[in-house]
Amino acid sequence: MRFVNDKRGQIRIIEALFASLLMISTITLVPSQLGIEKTHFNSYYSEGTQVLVSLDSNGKLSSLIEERNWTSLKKCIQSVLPVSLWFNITVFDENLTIINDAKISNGGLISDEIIAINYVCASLSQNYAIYIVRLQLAGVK
Amino acid sequence: MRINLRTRKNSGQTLVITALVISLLTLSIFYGVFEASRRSEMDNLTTLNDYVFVTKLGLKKTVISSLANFSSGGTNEILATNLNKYVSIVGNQAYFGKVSILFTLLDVPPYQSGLHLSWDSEGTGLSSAYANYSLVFTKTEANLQFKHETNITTKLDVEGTYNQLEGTARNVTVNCKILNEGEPSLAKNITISYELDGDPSNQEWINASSTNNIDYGNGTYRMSFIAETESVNDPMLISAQVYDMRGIFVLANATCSET
Repeated sequence: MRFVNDKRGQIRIIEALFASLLMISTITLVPSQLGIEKTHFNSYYSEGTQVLVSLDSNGKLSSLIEERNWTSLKKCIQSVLPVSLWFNITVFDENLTIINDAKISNGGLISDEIIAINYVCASLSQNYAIYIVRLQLAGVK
Repeated sequence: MRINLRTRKNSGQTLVITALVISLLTLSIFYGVFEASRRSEMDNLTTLNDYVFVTKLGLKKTVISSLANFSSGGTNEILATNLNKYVSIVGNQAYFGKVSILFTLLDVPPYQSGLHLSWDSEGTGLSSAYANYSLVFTKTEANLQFKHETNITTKLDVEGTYNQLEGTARNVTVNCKILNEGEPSLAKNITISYELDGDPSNQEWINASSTNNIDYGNGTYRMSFIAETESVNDPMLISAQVYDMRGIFVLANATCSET
């Protein structure tokens, strides 16, 4: 009878329940934090891809590569990417041999977190060729 | 005794407020977790969409390049060869798991191996290519499949009129209209020639040196030139050879009417 009437421990049980809920939700939050880091990667990936698509959709990217006009390629990329982003481009042929003999970059690396986009660029010319453009991006943290 | 009672009443209020704060905290954490995971999923979807778009663009450019080659005298295996090359390189990229592209070339007449050229003497020329694809992304969790088709067409419509001048000379006006996939498009290069005796069987085509060119900017071009035929009664046969901006060649012949 004394145990039934003694209600002092109930609030402790509720407290323990809330505390355990808090702990469980914090544990659940950890993987989503990793997801947030991935979001950072995704936004750069998306931005870089759109820059390359805008250059490639009218055949400009492949024609600049075919002309080996690395200076114009650098200027084109520089004009469309935000100034806060660092970039470096490497162009490979079908056999994965590097074909750009000059550096296509806008300066020194500003962050250790670099993302790389491998873009397969098909040429529009009669002499069909495929190039793989690797665009590396990094932003200020 | 009165003081003790007041203290006991207040202690309950603190508990209620604490419980409220804790539940608010819990709710906000749950909301944060849900929102973060939703955003992550949306971003993944956007990135996949970008990748699919890039692959479709590459396939389209491969078809254009193949048609440009074929219309300029290449073999009709070129489309299959180029698509195989593209598919094998894309297959080695593995950002979203294994990517495989299965393509089918249209082989129903008038298409052969996905390619078709129709350059007639009725004033219409057509260079066309057609292929459809199935893009399959194989991942450990799920498989994704996209169906896609590419139809590249360059069409040329030619018509001409002429005024008889002195002797065998004629003032010829030619109108050319260029269409890419049914939409007006610009030309990279246009060459007009005419038949010396109006008989196409002996192929005596003479390049017309155009004196007046008008580019209307909407895929329509007007060219005027002076032609010298063998005799006054020869029909005025003209031939227009056009490279569109993508490098696809198309040709059309037409007989001019006298005005």
